[in-house]
Amino acid sequence: MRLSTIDIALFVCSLALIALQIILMQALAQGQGHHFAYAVISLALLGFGSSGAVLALARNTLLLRAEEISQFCLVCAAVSCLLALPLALQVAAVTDFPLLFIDLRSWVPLLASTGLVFLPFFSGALFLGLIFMRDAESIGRRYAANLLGSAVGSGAGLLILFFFSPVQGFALCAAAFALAAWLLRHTWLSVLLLSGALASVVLITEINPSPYKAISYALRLPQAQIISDTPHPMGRIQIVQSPALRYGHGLSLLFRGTVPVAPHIYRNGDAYGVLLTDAAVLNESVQALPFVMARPSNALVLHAGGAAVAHLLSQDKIQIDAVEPHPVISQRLREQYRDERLTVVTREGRAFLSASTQHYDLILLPLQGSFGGGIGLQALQEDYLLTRESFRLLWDVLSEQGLLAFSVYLDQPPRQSLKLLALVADTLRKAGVTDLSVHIAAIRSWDMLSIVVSKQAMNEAAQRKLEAFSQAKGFDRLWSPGEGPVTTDRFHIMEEDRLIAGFTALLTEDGASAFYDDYLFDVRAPHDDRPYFYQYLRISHLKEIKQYLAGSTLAFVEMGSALVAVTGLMLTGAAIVLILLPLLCLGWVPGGRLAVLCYFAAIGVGFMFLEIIWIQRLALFWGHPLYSAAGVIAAMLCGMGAGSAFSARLKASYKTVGLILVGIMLVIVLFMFLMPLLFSVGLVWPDSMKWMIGLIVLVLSGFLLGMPFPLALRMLNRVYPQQVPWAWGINGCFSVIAAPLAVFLVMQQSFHAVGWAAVAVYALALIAVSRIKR
Amino acid sequence: MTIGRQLFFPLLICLLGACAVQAKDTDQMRVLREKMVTEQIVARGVYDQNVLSAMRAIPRHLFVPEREERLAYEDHAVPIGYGQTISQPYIVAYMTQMAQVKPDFRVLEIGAGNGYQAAVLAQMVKHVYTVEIIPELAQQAQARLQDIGYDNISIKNADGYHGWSEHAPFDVIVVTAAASHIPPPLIDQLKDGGRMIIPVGTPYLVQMLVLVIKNGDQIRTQNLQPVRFVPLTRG
Repeated sequence: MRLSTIDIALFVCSLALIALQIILMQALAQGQGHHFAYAVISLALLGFGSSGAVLALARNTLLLRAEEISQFCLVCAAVSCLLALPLALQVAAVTDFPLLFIDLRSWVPLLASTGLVFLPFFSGALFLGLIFMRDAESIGRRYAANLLGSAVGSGAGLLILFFFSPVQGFALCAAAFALAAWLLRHTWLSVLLLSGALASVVLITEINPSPYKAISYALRLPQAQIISDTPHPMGRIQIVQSPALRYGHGLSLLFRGTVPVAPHIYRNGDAYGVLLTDAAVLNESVQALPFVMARPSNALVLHAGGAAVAHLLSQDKIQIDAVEPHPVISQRLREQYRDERLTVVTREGRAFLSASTQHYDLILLPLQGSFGGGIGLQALQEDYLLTRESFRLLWDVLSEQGLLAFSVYLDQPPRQSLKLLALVADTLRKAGVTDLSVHIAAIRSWDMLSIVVSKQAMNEAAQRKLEAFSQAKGFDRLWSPGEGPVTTDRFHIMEEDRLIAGFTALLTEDGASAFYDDYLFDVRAPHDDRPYFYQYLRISHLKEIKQYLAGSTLAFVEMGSALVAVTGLMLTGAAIVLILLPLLCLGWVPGGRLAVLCYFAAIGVGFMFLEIIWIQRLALFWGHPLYSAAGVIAAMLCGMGAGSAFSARLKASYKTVGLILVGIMLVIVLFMFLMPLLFSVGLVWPDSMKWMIGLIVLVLSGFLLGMPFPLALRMLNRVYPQQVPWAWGINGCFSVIAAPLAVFLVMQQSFHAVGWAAVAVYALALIAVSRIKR
Repeated sequence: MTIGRQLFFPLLICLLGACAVQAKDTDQMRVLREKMVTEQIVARGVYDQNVLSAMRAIPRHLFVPEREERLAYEDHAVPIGYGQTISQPYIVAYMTQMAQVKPDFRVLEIGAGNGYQAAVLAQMVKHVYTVEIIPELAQQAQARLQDIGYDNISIKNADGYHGWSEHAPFDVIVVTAAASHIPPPLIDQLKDGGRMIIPVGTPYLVQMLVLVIKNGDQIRTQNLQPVRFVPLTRG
């Protein structure tokens, strides 16, 4: 009876630890603009690794009072969920990311919040490790409770986010830890904590968003109020209204009317769209270009949260399909624009395009970027709508007379505009178009560029329409079909040479490759293997970029990549200090040092490389990065648990481990080649089927990945038993480091490159394990 | 009697403040100011001697809260309360140079903040009209500028998006707060041949400093450089 109570406590604690990771990803997405899944996984692993180091160092002391200490750990986990995590979010909110690269003081809130986030993972993991160590004879049952709890935790984390804010989610996790503590020992403290945590779920709603978020700016406007606030795992949706919240982007400076006031939509605090009621003002903007060039009878608008739906509805005789992946936004669009010409589809853009049999006269892509350029935080976000594969699908659903249109904020130096053009050029060339210049028209206002791509070559009539519209509104003709750039009588002077030179080079066969090679930033068309549209940094051109910026910090233009490097370095330091340094107290036992180091480091790195790239790749398949993080963590844990349990039946020999490692390498190679096929075929499948197939594949691969660690540990226990704690520590440490490293490598190279790197590290493990044998 | 008492203490504070103004512009501050002009402003290419003289003349440390005084001549923006900042010295000088002001100009400033930019402009033009949406800052700036002795600056507490139509048109408009777009009322209030300097872009993150030139029916713009400003409107 007593044993089963501990099993339940293990189940509840494991559930809370994994749910906490999912909730934390969402909290970071809301607070900082990106889910930082890699950093959350790294921090959780850091908690597990450092608790392992503590267990190795103080094994006997801890075992003497295991029950009291176990309960204490759970109480600490509950308290840190209740107090430390909300505090961490509040502290992190004041981190001014651009200043991290200029002012050392800006590191204080970042480091403090990281330390606070570490606490619940460390406490929870210490409880799990202590119970495993104490109850070694019934480890199978304990491990099963742990795995089952972890798998359920992923789903629970997502479920919580449908109904509660992340801070309320933390309180629910605190309640779970407190319940586990009460199950261990029925003390008043546990009851008090449980009551406090449950009361917090009701009382706490949300902490203040970061002052650097768009919504914080909106809420400072006079009479600003949130008129709708809905939590959702795909992002919390808030709609803000204020008499000073206007929409005038891309507007002609000759416009003297009233810029309309409209409620703005925010997803996780970032600007997402505008609920315009009267879109007539958009006819005064560069965004009107497609309607100047043609009279479409039907249109498709992708990721339709913006003003595009209202703009399309203001046109005559047009049928509109608006595709919006976020269910809360799509529902809001249906309610806002009740018009029989409009059909709102709740679906991921890529999945819709893959399944579509309809052809459209006009396809509108969502408005891209921000004026002047972002500060690169978006660089971390994978975007599968803006890839070569996606644009080929777009081309296929365009009617013979169709136009593909998009607007992009101008940035300096030009990056996002040129990268979009590179995508267009690649699509046209793949479609067999030889003279690209007659298929493209582009104009710009002082802040925005609008490009129209025609399936048919444009004629002189199109040239005249473009000229008349540009002259009337005071816009510059950046590219006139058949004419190229019109350089006379400019209204808006900016970094002319780079944008014009980019247009000219990218639209000619010979010029493109030389331009890509020479240009300061990476503006090549992204593809599914490296779907980072907003990643422009070229490590090879750092020196030239610094010269160009002449004193401005690099963070001004490319903060995303730098932030991955920074968090990677920070986590590496923490892993060394919290995992490896404590183990030095045990001393380093001679014999097979390098082999032990290499093997356990390699399998830690290899595993994390795979987990991170699967989370990122399956975001397209399952529709959102948070869904894929939850699915991958749950499936991998189940698969690895089963594999680990199964390995107990195998002989711990070099041959067995070697065969498994070769099997893993083959599986990785197989995945690298099958993944694109899965995306091209499987995106149209129903969600339930996508989930089922994805989970089966992950559980099976997890089964293999779960075996090398316990088998090699058994081998090591035979030859160098004193090095077992080091094996744990090294594996934990390198797993922590590998997560940000994987993200950095994917951003700079590709998923394939990281896949091959994983193969290489498993090959290294294969060599190393033979040395352990000796 | 009650009114008299109510006025007495603010007047006394103003008087003491005025004495403090004189007292606090020490040699040390003048040295720091000269260093600021040479190392931060001239070194970055600001060459207009009128702008440099104004930057040398105005005791910037009097425009920051006392606790931040030591940061007044540093090469960055300084918080002045209410979520606002006094801009980096170089940006103030650069914007003033790009405005190309003349002694007979009437200038509109949007986002008075603590009044420093208005003071720099007032050294060089006939009159500066400045609008500040935060009432407390507007009051503080008015008191400070009066204390220092500026009689060619008018301050209004209002939403700068709508400009100051009663005194329009203006030769130059300088916007010292980030906007999401260029407000049409400000273009309206610009004189023919007038210039407007405005930071436009994502609030609190990166904006582009844009120069707008009005020539009859034509409006031309020039993107100058990326900057960071606090938002235009704050309720």
